[in-house]
Amino acid sequence: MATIDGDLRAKARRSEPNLSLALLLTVALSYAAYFVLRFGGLWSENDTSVFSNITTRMLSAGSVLFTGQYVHGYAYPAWLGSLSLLTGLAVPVLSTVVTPFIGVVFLLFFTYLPYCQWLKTPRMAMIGALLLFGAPDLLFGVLRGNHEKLTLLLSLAAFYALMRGIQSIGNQHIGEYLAWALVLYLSVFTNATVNDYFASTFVAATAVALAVGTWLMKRSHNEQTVHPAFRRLTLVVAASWLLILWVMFFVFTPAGIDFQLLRSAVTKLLSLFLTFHAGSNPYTLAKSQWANPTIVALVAAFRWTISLASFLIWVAALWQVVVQKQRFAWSRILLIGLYGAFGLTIAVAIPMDFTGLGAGTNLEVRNFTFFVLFASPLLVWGMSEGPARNLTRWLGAYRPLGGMVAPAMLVGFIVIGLFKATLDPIVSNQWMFYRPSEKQSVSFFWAHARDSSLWTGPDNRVRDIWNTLTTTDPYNNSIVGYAINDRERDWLRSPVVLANTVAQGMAIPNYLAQDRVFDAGEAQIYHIRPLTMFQN
Amino acid sequence: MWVESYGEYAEGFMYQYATGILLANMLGRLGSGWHRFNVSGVTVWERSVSSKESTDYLFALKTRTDVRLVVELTRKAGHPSAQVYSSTTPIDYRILNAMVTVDATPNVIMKDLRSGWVTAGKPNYDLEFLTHTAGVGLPTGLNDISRVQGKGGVPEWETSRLLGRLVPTSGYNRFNATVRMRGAPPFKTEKPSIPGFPYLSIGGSNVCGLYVCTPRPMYFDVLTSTLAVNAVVGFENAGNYRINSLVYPNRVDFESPFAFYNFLANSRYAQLVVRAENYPGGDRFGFVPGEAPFPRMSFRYSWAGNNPELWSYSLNVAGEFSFHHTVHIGPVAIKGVGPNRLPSWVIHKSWPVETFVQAMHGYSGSEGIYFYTTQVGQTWPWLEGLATSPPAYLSAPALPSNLLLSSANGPPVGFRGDYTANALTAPKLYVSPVDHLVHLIGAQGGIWNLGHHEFVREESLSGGQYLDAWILERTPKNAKTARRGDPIQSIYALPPYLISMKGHAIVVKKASESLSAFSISPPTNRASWLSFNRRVGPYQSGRNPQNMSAWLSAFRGPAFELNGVARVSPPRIQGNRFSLVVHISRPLKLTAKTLAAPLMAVVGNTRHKATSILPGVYVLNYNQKTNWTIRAASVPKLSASIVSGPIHSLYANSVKATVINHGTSEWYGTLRLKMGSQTAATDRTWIGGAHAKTIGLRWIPSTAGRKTLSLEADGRSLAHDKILVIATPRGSVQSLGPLSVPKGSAADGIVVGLIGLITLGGSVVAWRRLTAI
Repeated sequence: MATIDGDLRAKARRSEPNLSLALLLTVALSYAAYFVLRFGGLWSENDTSVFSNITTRMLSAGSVLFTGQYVHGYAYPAWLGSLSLLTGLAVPVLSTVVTPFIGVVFLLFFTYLPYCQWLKTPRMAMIGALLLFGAPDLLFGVLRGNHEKLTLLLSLAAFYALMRGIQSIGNQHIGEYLAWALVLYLSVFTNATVNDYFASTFVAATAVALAVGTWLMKRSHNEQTVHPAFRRLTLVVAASWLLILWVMFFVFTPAGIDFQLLRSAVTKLLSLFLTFHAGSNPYTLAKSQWANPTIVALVAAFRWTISLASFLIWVAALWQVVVQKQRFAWSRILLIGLYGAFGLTIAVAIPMDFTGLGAGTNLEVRNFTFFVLFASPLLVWGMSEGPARNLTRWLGAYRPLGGMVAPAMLVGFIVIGLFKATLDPIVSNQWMFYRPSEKQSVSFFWAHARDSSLWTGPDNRVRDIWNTLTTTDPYNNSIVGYAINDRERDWLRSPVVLANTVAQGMAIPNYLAQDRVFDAGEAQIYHIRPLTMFQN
Repeated sequence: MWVESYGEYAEGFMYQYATGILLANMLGRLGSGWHRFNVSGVTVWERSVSSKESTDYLFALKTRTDVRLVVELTRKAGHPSAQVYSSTTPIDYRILNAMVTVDATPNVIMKDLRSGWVTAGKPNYDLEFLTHTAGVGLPTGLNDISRVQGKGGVPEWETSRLLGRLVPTSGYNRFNATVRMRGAPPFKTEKPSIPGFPYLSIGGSNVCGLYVCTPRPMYFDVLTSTLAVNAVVGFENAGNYRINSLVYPNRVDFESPFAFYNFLANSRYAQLVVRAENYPGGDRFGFVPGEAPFPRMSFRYSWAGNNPELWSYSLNVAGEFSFHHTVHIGPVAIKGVGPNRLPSWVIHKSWPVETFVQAMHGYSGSEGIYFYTTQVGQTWPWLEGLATSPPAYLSAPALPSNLLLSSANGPPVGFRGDYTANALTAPKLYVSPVDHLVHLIGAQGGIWNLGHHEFVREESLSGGQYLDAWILERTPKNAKTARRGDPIQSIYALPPYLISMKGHAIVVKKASESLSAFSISPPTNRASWLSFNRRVGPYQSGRNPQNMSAWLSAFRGPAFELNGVARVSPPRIQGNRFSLVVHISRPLKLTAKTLAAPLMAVVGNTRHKATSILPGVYVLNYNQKTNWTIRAASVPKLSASIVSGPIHSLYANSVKATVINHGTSEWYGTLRLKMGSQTAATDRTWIGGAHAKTIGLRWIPSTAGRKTLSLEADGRSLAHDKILVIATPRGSVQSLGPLSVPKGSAADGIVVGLIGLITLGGSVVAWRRLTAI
């Protein structure tokens, strides 16, 4: 009996990684399926529209170098375009229906692998990876149709290769080390061709992690392991910078524009700190994006919980290393360093967002997606075997209540995150879906209007959708949103436009006594009645 | 740049010192070979230094050591080449082995594309030159690359491109071109200062004027020690067709073209100037409000009167046109209309906005009449449908007292102008027998600036082809524009009557003349220009605007006069009827036996004897069928009521306002719906005497709550109502997201199905594993 029981336990242990992965895969694919099916695939948003548009034009041009290309990297459109050519599926379909699934699978595998290195057991790695599904900012990044899914994949692959390479050195397996080094450099190079800014962020943060890690290793008298592991890391950072510069100067020269962006950012930062006059305030915008203050608190709850909890663990771990001089394994030291470094990128991004930089005012949100990748394993490590393990044991003592709270909270965060990631109208004032009748109306306008603008709502929802679906502009028409301009003589009216306008607290255009020039049943186009001979 | 030059100079100095050459060089610089001459009171020293490779000309001012101009003539690859250095400070140079070396960047490098600068005693105009361009607001390191070609010593065309590190959004003059037109006056230029190099002259106050000759391509001014690089073919003198563009060809913009036509042989004064201000659709430069997808084209079309050296008339037009023809200037092709066709092209197009300006005493200058133009930014919101009223400056222009360029928005003193903001036909002119002046057919109005805060306002009350009202008005001294001032006297031409109003008198005279003596087109060539001046000559000064009542004496016909009128409203015209509201302050005697007859009949005097009208307010009507009628009237007096249904925030709401005019004379003005102190909606309307009118006013309240709604007219509250603006809820948004597979795409359905299967499969595998443990 004991033998049978022992066999079962051994079998269970062997099957543990597969089981963990299967569970994770189920959660990930269900998440992606919800994201796609919530709006029946009829969705888009700014980045999805930009990259779909760019990819379609790239395929028409037959080259990654063409007018109006994405200047920060060519690889994502090239990858998406290749998928389109391989499968025969249209780029918008790939972006909105297929790649969300690919994105979550990428995220799943390439977080699980390094997490297995950082954490003790596959179960812990699974919990770490599962925690990420409570972070809608991260999930939105990999589900929507932009380069972030590749950026994260390649960054995580680089981390994994780095750690395996260091392990190989420790095991004196030089051939294996060389193979991992090749994977590492290939990942960094490809990452730079996807987006040079995020590749640079990765390298800069790694450099900071190296500096912090080296210092921590010395403080905890782990000197015998400092040299083989961290000296290698130094070379990695140096070589990575060269690879990125190579991409910017020689491989894809349009990316050189980021040097101008850097100059502009420095100038704006100087102006911000000298005058204390912010070019924009993205945080005001973020508040007005959600339905009410309770929703604002709910959708930010996970972000604050994981940030605060992981920060406390990070501080406690630093205390243990620096003050108590406890010895930590090099992989843990690296995790602590990377957490600190990516935390720093968020701290730097906040004033940058206030400058109103032309490239975007959401750097803090976008850097958070990297940060949470390290916050999650740090939290799991801290709770399981790190500074907060006693708290976990204490909570565990109150089973089943203690054992239920954490999973219940996680499920709650995932559900809230689903609403946030899909910008569901229940929680968000900014929406990303459309109705077939809206598409039909805009198609009519596009085909029949000349040199005209169609107002389509309080933001760029319909414009983004339209840019996802089409790349041609035969009659110099434009689809616009936000405040109505005098140039807009045509307005789209649909239940979604009306509800979205009200949700955002804007006045609905005066449709009374205007000319209804198109009617698709649910949606219509109104033309403003001309009052002079020069109004069309 | 200066540091580099200094460094090189210091290095050369050390080398020369070390080799003992310095002394020889200094002797050479001060040595013989200099000769002097006088220009505009300044002593100019000149010296030439020749070697096998080059000949250098040095020009020093006042003393021989102060060299300000160096011209180095060499031969490169069989073609003569020149490098010209100029500076406002002494130029650093060295002479070594009969060769001059200048430590600076040449201002101009010129290359003759033939074999010599001069052929058969005439300059070769087959040149290519590079000019180092510097100026306020320009980045450093810019160069103009120019190309000139001509024959027989006369340049025929030139092009010039500005190259360098230009800021893309800055409006530099990036491309210029000039063509010498057929029939241009003879090419005259100055005496060159270097024998054998006919492209440079040195002068001072005696610079060759625009109307005398064309300066040499380079002109060194000894008074300012500066080198000017001039247009070779000519600049703004008659016979030139020029392009000044802020963008490179072929869709050139700005002054493309700017043409100067001469109708008198040998005159360098242009008698017609046609200046475009033209921005093709999508051009990033041009009129405020900035880049537009539509083309913005406008023209100034000025011509001289009997004095061929002064501009008399100017037609200004604007519209959304663009050029479709190609014009070749040397090797460059641009979109435009060639010089021969340009005047006709402009005159025969239907421009929607037009002004016609007359300089009553002529106006000098090379570019035509700048004032009261359509070449301003205010024109475009109207033409592009962004504004619902024409540019305000047309009906209420500025009244500038000087002749600055900034007076574009109005006629200065001594100028007058007509305008139309919705013309449907090509511009044409006519002569009015009323004021004896040339006007624009279809003009909606105009202003004649008399100075001393007085002007004549011209109007077309009937909305017809010809002006029918002239009102002499005086504005307050601080008024900057010709808004309605106090009428001093006026003339109305309301066929078949002319009505003069001055002080307490109204004179009505029957006149059968047409409102147009004759019509005429603006001149487009020599023949039509001569014909225009011959026909229009007698109508240049017009009648005396200070004595309008005297204008009636030019017309023959019966008249009657009403005296003792306290106040008169301007006539209101409806079809072939018109009416005047008169305030009679004392008993009015009708004594005339002619026109007063029907009037007397109305007031009960059928015997056509003298009668009187009692003091009061009267409406005087004229109708072709019923002739004159008069009836007592009362001033408009309004009352109103407001009716509103449920009012919702964020949505457009309609309020019905019923306004009653209790007076017998009509009311015309703006009704203003106010919510609190904010104007919610306005409506410009008229309400007939003893009539009521119901109008719908629409507005969108942005906030909810209890509000006070009021209706105002003439600044007086007519009615008010307490309303509740109901908040619009966020709405039932749960039903908005379609949870369905999109229709119309089989691929989408297949993909979604596959993904569903994978998700299901994963879940089943995971479940089985879990249950197996």
